[in-house]
Amino acid sequence: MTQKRTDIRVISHLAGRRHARGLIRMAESGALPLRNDNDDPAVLTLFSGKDQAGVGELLDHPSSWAIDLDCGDPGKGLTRMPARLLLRLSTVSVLRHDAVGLMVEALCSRLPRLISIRDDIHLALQEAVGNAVIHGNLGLDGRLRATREGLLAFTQVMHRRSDDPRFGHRPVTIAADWNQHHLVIRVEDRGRGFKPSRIPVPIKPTAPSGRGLCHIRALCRRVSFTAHGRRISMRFALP
Amino acid sequence: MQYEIKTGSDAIHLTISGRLTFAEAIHFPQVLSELAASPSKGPLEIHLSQMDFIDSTGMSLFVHIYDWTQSVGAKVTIHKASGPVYAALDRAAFNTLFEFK
Repeated sequence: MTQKRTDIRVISHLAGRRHARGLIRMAESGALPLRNDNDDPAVLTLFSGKDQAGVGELLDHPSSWAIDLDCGDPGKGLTRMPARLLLRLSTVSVLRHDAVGLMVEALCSRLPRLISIRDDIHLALQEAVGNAVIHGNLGLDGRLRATREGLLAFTQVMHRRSDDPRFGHRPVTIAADWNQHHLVIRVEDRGRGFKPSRIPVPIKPTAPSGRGLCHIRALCRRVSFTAHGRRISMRFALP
Repeated sequence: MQYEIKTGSDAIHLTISGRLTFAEAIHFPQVLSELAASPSKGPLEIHLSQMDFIDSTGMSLFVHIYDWTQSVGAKVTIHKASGPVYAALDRAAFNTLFEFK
């Protein structure tokens, strides 16, 4: 099989970073599974999530993978994530930027027929990324939000942990792949994982937590968990 | 997320604009504190015409608002939720908790 060429775009002031050099080597050797339908080279963008400017254009064509170099070990596991579109951001960057909006825009620009299910994809992906950040990488228990005092404690711990590099630099990865019939979006975190219930549990309107997974199950054709609950795969039927 | 609380003689008005998601959760206790400190004991009118998006963490703010208004006996009306915001609130069956206009 002929290996497709990967073009690499590195925001200039980051080119000397240790992780940038490692990722460039991986891309040049063909180790990163960037998938592409045509003969155009796939474009990998390396950036810093601390930068405010230009983040909104990270996945503009022809860029198909974008990796935040502020993540701890930003190349880890990427060789096992074949994807046409991939966005990896640190937890802090996800809290700072609208990563989900960015991904949904990029998906709709490549697959215009998604427009009719755009809101469903947006909400399902938002819930998955929210779970990856809050319960995964920051290790927070949503049940703490049941009372006002608990909500205050929840937000205080959230603030403290997002400022702590051991939590704040953990990456959230959003990877999308599709064929003629289906779109599959995977979201992965580096938290402790969890054991999802096999049977959907109905959520009362007054429940303080647990609503996100319920929404995801309602909006997707199929949902599955791997990597001990650290990775969710959401399958949507293409209109 | 931006919010504004105005206390009128007849009601408290809470206007929320932008995105109400997990990334904004850090502001929720402040919103609830300001509401609780409001001198008015009238109904709460929530205006969402400028809200673009809400997720389940954002919805948890409304659950806390519901709990607080139940404790003080105030009625809540949500005004002008539309598009994906209305769809999300409807999906969560919030029409059983609040009046929508």
